[in-house]
Amino acid sequence: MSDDLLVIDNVHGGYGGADILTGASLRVSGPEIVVIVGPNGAGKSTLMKSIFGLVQIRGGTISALGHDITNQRADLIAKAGLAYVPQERNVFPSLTVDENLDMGGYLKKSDAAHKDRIYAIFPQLANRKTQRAGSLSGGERQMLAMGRALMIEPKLLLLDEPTAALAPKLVDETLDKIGEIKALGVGVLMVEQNAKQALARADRGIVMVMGKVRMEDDAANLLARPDLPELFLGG
Amino acid sequence: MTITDFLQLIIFGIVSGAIFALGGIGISVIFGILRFAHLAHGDMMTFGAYLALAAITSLHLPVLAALPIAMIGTAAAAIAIDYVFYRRFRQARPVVLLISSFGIALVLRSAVQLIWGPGNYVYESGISIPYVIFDLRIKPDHLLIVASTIAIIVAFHLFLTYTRLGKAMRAMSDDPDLARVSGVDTERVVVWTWAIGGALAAAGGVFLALDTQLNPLLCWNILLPMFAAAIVGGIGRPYGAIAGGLLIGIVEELSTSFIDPAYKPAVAFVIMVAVLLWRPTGILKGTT
Repeated sequence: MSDDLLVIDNVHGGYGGADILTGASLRVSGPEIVVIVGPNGAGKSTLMKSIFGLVQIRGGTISALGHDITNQRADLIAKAGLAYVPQERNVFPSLTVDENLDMGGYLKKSDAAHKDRIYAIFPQLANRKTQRAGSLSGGERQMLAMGRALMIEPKLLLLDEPTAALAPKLVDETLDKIGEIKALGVGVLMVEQNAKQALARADRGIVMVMGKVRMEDDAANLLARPDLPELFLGG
Repeated sequence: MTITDFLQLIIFGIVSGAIFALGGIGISVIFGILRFAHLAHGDMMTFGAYLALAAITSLHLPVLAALPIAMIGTAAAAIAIDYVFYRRFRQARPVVLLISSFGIALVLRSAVQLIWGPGNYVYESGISIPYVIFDLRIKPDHLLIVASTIAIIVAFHLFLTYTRLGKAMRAMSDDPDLARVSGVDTERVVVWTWAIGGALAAAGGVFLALDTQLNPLLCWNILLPMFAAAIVGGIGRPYGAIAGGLLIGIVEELSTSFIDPAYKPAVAFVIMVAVLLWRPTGILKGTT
């Protein structure tokens, strides 16, 4: 038993066929922001999915808040205190904004006060409570996806490329929200293509290459490295 | 065709549309949650109709009192069938489930034939006198069918809109993985999907038996228009199945004044093709 929010130990796995993850290990302790960067195909998104039981893990273990969650059912992982925002298909399009938040809080039954806190963090959503999520703009949809995930009052939030497909001016706005989320006492593990902007707001950075963690360091140290672009491109 | 004939056919169309809707909702919801075409749905409805017959003959109940018994019994049967058969195929390809549901259809039909025999039955013998309003003849049974269907659909709507489980059902129909990630116990949602699909199927079966007469092929015969209703409405969208059911029921009845009633099933398909040419995923955008 440990106080670590998440411990990934030597995980191998993939979608069938060859393993995409080839011995990935990392740790998130306490409410910190950890950013995973790395080239396309490094297995960043696959790692996120494997944490939530959506990708078969064929070796190694994953534990969260002292529970072994390796290959566990996703709803039980949510119960353990983890929340996950996939890169795509991260809202329920035919449900309204308010109903999407209700679904996020499915395990909590109804907690109106907490829902109001979420609306306070994402005020754009408060004006669109009865609108269907499918009709939201890309930026609003991302806010809703994060709001939905926060509804279960997670200890750790997994974000898979929260700024992908967003207009440049929305990227900073979205990343700033992640700082607010940390302030709630929630740890954040995120995959992000906008490496510099994300590392600037993070506590630690992890470089993933070829299904493994190549390097990890304080975000500031990684940012200061002149060879960051090469690391990021897998050089 | 006079205006009275026209309105008379509309009334008949609403009655058969209500029955198609009750079956079509179940087909649509099961497709939305489990992603397969449930070919046993017609026979599940027939089974419900016979359960009502058992309640009527053994307990001497009126049809309306036998209806909830049939709905609960069929819901339980649907849950049991899922638990014993379909549950084993959760990860299988849809075609495997499609074929196994055809097997279940044969099992249910054989069970009905073994228990009640191949003959015809009616719930209540005797002639019911229709009400006459402005030259329109309205049978008391038709009134009961339409009023009960409206009540059932309103209850279903309230369930989907306001309950935690109803929202979870819609969420799972949108995206099962995201529902799981949000903490929804999807197996529990599946159980309730069968409960609701089975209960509505029984209601549809009882109403068709009330309007015609019971025989083991009762609702197998309307399986195709019910699927057409679900598809026309947008598969996976229960409200679409209601619209699709009414559309097909009414147009089928109206067609009988121009063409032989034997072509009714073909009419359902013409409507389906026409609607899909106009909106390829159905009236409401269906699940893909």
